[in-house]
Amino acid sequence: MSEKPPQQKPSESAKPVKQDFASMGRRSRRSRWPAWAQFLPLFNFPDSPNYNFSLILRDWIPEILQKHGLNNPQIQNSILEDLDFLDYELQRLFRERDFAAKRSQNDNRMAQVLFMFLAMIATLIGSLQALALTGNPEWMPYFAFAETLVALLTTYIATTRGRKDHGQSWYSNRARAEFLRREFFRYLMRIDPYSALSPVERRSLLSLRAAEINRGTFPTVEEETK
Amino acid sequence: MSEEFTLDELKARYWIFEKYALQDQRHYYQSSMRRFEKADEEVSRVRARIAFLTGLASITAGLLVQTQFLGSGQCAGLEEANATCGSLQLLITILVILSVILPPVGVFFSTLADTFQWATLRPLYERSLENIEVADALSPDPEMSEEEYQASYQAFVKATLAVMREETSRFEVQSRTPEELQAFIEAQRKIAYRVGGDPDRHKLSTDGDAT
Repeated sequence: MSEKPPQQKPSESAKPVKQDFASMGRRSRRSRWPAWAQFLPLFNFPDSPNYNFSLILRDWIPEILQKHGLNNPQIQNSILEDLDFLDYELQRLFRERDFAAKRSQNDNRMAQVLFMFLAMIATLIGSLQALALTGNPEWMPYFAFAETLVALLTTYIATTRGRKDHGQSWYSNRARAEFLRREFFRYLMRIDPYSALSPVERRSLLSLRAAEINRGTFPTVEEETK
Repeated sequence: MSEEFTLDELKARYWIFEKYALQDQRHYYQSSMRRFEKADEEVSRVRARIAFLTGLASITAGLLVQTQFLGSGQCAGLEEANATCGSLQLLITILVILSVILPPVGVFFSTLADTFQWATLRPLYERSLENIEVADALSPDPEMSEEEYQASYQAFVKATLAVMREETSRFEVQSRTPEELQAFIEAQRKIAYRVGGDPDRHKLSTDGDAT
C-alpha cells in the first residue's frame, strides 16, 4: 500500500491546488471558456513539438529522492544516466509522435467542426429563404448568394483538408506515442524484457524496440505483460 | 528480475514511477472525467434550452396569429396596421425566425456531442481510474523484506502499465491491420483463459439467442 501523501507545507494555499501534470499536458489558456468550447480545435496550432518536454522532470529527481531518504549520489547518477539515454533513444521519438498525434487530432476535429458549422449555416439560410419567398422575395438573390458562398467554402475545406486521412494518422501516432511512453517506464523500472540483462544488452534492446514501435511494429500483449 | 538493483535503488525507482506514472495517470483520468462530464452536461442543457425556446416561439406565434389576426381578433381584416398590430406583426416575425433558426443550432450541438463522444469516453476513464486504484494497491510497503519488495514492485509496475495500455487500446485497435487485429484478439483470449475466464461464454447460438 502507498504511503500517505505528505502534509502540505505552510506556504501552500489552503485552497485546492490545481496540479499541472508532469507529463499529461498543461492547463489550457481556454480554462475560462465553457467546458464544451475548450474541446474545439485550435486555428493557431504550433508548427513544431516542444523539444523541452520530458516524461520525467530531471530537476525534480533529487527532491524526490531526498524526500524519501534516498539521496545517494550513486542512485541519483544511475537514474540520470538512464534518463539521458532515454532522452535520445526514446523521448525524441515520443515527442515527434505525440506532436503528430495532437496535430492530426486537431486537423480532424477542425474539418468536422467546420463542416458542421457550414451545414448549420446552410440550413439557416435555406430556412430563411423559405420565409422570405412569400414575405420579401426581393431578398432571394442575397440568400442565394450566401448559400452559394457556403457551398464554395465547403468545397474549399473538403479540398484542403481531404487530401490526408487525419483520423487514421491521429490514431496511429497516438498508439505509437503511448507504446513509447510505456516502454520508457518499462526500461527505467527494469522490468521485462529489460531485467537480467547487461547494460549493453539492455541499451541495445531499448534502441531496437523504440525504433520498432516508432515504425508501427508493436510488441504483442503477451510480450508486454509477461 | 532486477538483480542488479539494491533495495534502495529499487525504492528510488518506485517513488519516481509512483509520481510520474501512477499519480500522473490518476490526475489525468480524474481531470478527463470532470471535463467530459461537464462538457456533456453543458451541451445537453444547451440542446434542451434550444428545443424549449423553439417550441415556445412556435406556439406563441401560433397563439398570436390565432387570437389577433384571425376571426374576431383586433387586427383581423385591417387594411392598414395600427401601432399595436404593427408591433404584433413584428413580434410574430421574430418568433417565426427564431423557430426557424434555433433547430439548426440545436443540431449543431447534438453533432458536437456525437463528434467528441464525451458520454462514451467518460466511462472509459472512470473504469481506468478504478483499475489504477487496484494497481496502486499492489505497491510495495517500505517494511517488506527485500524479496517481497522486489516481487511487489514488479507486480505494481506491470499492473499500472496494463491499465495504461487498456486505456489507450482504442487507438491501437484502430491502427492495426485485419491480420494484426486477429492476432490481438487471440492474444486477449489467451490472457482471459490464463486468468480463468471464458471469452466464448456468451457466444450466440445458431438460432441467434445468447447461450
